Amino acid sequence: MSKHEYNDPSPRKRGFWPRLPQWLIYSLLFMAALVILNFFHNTDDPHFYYDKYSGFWPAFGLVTGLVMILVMKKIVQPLIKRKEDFYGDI
Amino acid sequence: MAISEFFHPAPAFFILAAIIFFSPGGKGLNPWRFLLPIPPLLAVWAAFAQQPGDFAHLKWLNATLTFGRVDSLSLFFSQIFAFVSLAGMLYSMHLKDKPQLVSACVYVGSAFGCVFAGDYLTLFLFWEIMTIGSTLLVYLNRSRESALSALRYFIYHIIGGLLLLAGIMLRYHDVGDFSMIPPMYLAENGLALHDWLILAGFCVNAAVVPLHAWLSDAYPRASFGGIIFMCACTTKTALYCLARVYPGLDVLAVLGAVMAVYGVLFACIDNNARRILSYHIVSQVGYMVAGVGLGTAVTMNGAMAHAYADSMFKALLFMAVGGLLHSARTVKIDELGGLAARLPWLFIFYMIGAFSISGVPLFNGFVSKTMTISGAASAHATWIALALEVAAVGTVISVGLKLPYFAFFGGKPQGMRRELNPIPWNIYAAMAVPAVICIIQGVCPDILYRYLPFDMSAAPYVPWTKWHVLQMLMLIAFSSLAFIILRRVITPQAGLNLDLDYFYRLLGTLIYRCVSRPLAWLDKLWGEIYRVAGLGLMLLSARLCSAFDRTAIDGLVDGTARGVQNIGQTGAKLQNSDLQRYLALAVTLALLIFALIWWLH
Repeated sequence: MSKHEYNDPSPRKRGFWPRLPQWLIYSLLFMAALVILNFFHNTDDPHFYYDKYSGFWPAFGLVTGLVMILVMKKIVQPLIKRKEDFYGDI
Repeated sequence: MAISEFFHPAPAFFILAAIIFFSPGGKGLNPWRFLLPIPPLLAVWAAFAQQPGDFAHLKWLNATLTFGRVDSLSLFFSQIFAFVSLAGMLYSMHLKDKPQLVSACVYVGSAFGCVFAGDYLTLFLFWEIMTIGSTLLVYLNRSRESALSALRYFIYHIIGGLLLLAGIMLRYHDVGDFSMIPPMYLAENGLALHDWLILAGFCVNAAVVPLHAWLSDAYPRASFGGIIFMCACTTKTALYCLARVYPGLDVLAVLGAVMAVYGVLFACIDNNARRILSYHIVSQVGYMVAGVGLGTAVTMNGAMAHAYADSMFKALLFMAVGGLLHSARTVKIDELGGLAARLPWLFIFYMIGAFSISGVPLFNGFVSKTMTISGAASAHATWIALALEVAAVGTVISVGLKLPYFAFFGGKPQGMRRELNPIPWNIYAAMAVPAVICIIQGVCPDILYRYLPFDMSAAPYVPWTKWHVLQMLMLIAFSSLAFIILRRVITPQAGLNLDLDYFYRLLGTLIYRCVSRPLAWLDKLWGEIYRVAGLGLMLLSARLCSAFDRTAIDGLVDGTARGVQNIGQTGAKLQNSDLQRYLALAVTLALLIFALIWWLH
């Protein structure tokens, strides 16, 4: 995987669907398989109410991950980031 | 082979420390490096062969110190420390730094001392030795940065130790003994002041938020070998004490959940690989503290199992990052990249640790982390279980993906062309120890579960069910998707993220000023008083002395001198060889003598 593969700059190869690198296609297929499996096999003992619905855990993982990264990098870090030698002890 | 007598691992470590200390140092490799794995191997043997019992009592003043309380809980932790110290000693074998190894031996030995301590006094004794050992392990990275960090670490842990001591003494006053047992009234009346103080002392070492910032401050700056021992022993010793004395304390469950989330949030945005892992100590210990706080058999055992698993994979991750530090001379991931092909074994070992901490099935995080979470959910602590799931997502993103992605793949061109130091064989050998344990425990959970100290035969936990595997894989896969989508956003940047140690330093500066300002004022006032009153008085007394000197002393001395002079002159006048005068004087004297005799008679 490299930047080059992922963001192919040549316009004539670009179609309606973005060209994805192979590892990402397999990963997405794996994720899709997991979600499909989830519809056949779900927990018998839901604890959080919404986890009785199939697809809760994929959504939980994705949304939590996105919110965590965006909030920490875009909101929290600009507030608390200082230069390396802020305390003057390096 | 079972042993009925008690074998304490600590003396073996202390003896090794003495041997290293007194052995002659040289420029070449030292012969004593082959002795390093011996005490950990003895400790491993003892952890498996030891029979439970109560050993090694010592009468001191009016108290009985117990050095050998051996039960399933202490044996479980001694097993953890034995394997971590084995890995750490193998990892340190190429080091020539004698003080670092001596400190490590003292530190690990006292960690064993804490775990086997049967009463608070013995615990406190080893607790403080641990503080000294770990401070030295931070200091011995030998840079200004680590020296200052070690000083802060020491001050902080001394305060923690004082809280513990105050609690122990107040407890002795109230209860009348030093026995290290849960308060009898834990469920009824809440905690007394001494219990809170002891709890605070434990919480400092367990890095419970908001008392955690010493960890992210000191651990990234710790010495090369020292960090492997420190990443397991300090927090796990405190966890052992919490599990021993405060099982089922509600506040711990909440604090543990906060720790678990707080640690991963900061790990997401940090740039220093060692600091990312340090925040993950806070996060993973959060799982354990939450498990102890919930207090059911499953969550307690989940906490213990996770303590074991975490010690293994965290040591492995720190060793892999230490390998990066040794080879590439930096752990700042914005400067690294493209190292997977150049350091393949380091990458593989790192990924074993990363899979374990992320809870991937077949690795030990899967059998320990899910146990705590499902225990919490079964205990109807829904919010706590949910917080632990959030922390699991953050763990996958920060340690499972972000750190290896930016350190081992992609990266900057100068990172790929970087000149690498060769990694000594012992570092790989050391990494193999926890890596093998991570996989064995993941594949056969019973190897871990059979040593768990709390009885959960009523509701046994089975990790390898279809649902657990599917749920974990979904959580990991879709957290990874979030990372893939936002990997340009999460790109690490050089810099420092403020943590709560900002407030510690503020508090420290305030206390410093509160002490130094009045003292400076007092000093100035005293100077003024001295100048006005003292100096005047002194001048006056000097004048008086001078006058006394001139009149009294000089008068006496001069008078004596003048007297001697006058006598001399009189004598000289008398002795002028004038016969008449001699005769007159003789007659006068004779008459005087006769008159005297007559008068006396």
